[in-house]
Amino acid sequence: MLEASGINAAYGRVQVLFGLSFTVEAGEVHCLMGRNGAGKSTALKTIMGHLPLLSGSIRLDGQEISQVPAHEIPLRGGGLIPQGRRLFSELTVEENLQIGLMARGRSGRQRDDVLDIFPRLRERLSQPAATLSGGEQQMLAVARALCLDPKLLLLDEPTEGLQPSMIEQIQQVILRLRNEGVAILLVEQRVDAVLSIADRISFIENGRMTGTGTVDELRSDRQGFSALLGV
Amino acid sequence: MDFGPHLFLACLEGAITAAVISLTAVGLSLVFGIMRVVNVAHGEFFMLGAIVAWWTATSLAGHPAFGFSAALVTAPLVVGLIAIIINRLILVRLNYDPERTIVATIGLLYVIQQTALMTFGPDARPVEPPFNTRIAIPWIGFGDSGFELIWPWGLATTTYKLAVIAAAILIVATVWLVISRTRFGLIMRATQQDGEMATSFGIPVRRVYAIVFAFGAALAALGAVLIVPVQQAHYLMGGDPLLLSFIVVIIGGLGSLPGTIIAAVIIGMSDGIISVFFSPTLAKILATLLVALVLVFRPQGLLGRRRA
Ligand SMILES: Nc1ncnc2c1ncn2[C@@H]1O[C@H](COP(=O)(O)OP(=O)(O)O)[C@@H](O)[C@H]1O
Ligand SMILES: [Mg+2]
Repeated sequence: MLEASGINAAYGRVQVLFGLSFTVEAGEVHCLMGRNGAGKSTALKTIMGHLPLLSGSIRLDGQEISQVPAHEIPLRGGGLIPQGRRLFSELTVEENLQIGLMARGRSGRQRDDVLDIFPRLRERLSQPAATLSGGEQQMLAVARALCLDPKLLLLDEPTEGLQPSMIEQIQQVILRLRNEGVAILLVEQRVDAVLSIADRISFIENGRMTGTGTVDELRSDRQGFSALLGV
Repeated sequence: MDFGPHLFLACLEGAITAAVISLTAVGLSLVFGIMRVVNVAHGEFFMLGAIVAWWTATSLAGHPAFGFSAALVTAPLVVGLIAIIINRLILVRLNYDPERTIVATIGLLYVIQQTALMTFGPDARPVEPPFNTRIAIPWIGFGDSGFELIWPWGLATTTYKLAVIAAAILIVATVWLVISRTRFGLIMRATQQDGEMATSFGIPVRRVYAIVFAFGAALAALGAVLIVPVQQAHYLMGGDPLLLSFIVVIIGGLGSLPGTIIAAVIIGMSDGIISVFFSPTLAKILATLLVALVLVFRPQGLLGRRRA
């Protein structure tokens, strides 16, 4: 579903990604791990077209998207749940969902399906997003992206700062999407979470890929895994 | 004339200023709120609107209402189009950088003003109002037989002036409905809050900017069409609306539409009243002083929210 190869990307003159390559298949959860500042969020932003590519190629569903305007990437099925949620905080819950539906012209049915996953949001539809609790805000960030009906979902540390029950719920949603055939690229820091839901794991350090493998491969190579984690 | 009727007349003048300023200020506020562009040339869009209105009205024969109605269409359209071209030629190239666009629009102000001087000339030119019936206003006075209705000499307005106020209310209400109730309004509000996330949801932010800039310019032009039968078109007429709109936007709270409208009424009314009783210059001085006070004691404006 997603094939990134040799991507180099920069903020202005400062290059942050160096020849990054990875793939995400449909129905697969691919986790990106790495220290703070390694370039994980930048990798997701580059896929979404927010950062110009210096070189390299990004293919979504077989089509090159690295030269496509950023606002067309969601039209082609790329959805993002950004770090820190970034809700439209002065808009209501309903309006946030409407923005999600608009991108690919999805109907009220999509909205109802999404609200069935997060019944708590249904009680808050007319509230401004800013008035939700932290957990509810994260639900809304997920729900908003699901309204888009993504083929590829990029999640940037979705469980950061959440209570265990919320983390559990978000993980259930991720697994459910995987089973529905969505390609999932997940940035996650917590090893236990990664081991329980990832199919494949890649490691980034200073904007470079330092290792990749399936969860089973990594389980059988404890030492190599620890080295990659840097612990 | 007694003080009461005199004050009433001043209020009427103030209401007309408020009506026009609310249109220009809403345009300025939308452009700043959504695009983060401080458009110093906004008053020149107002002036261009007046010139296009004069040009339309004088090139059409027949009843004045015909030319005026045509101007209500041509002025916002032409000025909106000019704004789209300016957006493409200048703002896009500067990547909407908040600082560089200020400098660029200052330059633009002089370019537009001097172009108007060279083509339209230095004279003030009138546009005939579509209708202009004088309405005498009664006052309650104390006469020989107790309270009675009197008709003070000079206490009068015209149907046209009342229509300007009504039209401005109608236009502002329409803008508010568009922003709060329509799909495009939702897109504008989302873009205002987080352009990058709006992009991530398929909103073509650059196109939204172009439309908002044209829309803001068209609102200023519309305000000018309404006022030009009262004030005449002149190449320097953009200065006062620009100053007052800035004052209104700062006092009302950047990016807050209700705040902008409330502030337009306060500033417009007081400008009108002080201009009638004292002088227009004193009115501007006091308004500027009020801005200074607001900036010191409530920098986010009346209804503005503090940004994190
Ligand atoms: N908006 C930005 N402008 C310039 N540099 C940035 C910006 N965002 C992140 N960086 C830099 O890019 C590098 C990678 O950051 P990021 O992708 O956010 O890391 P991660 O998500 O892995 O913690 C860091 O060195 C960071 O300082
Ligand atoms: Mg990050």
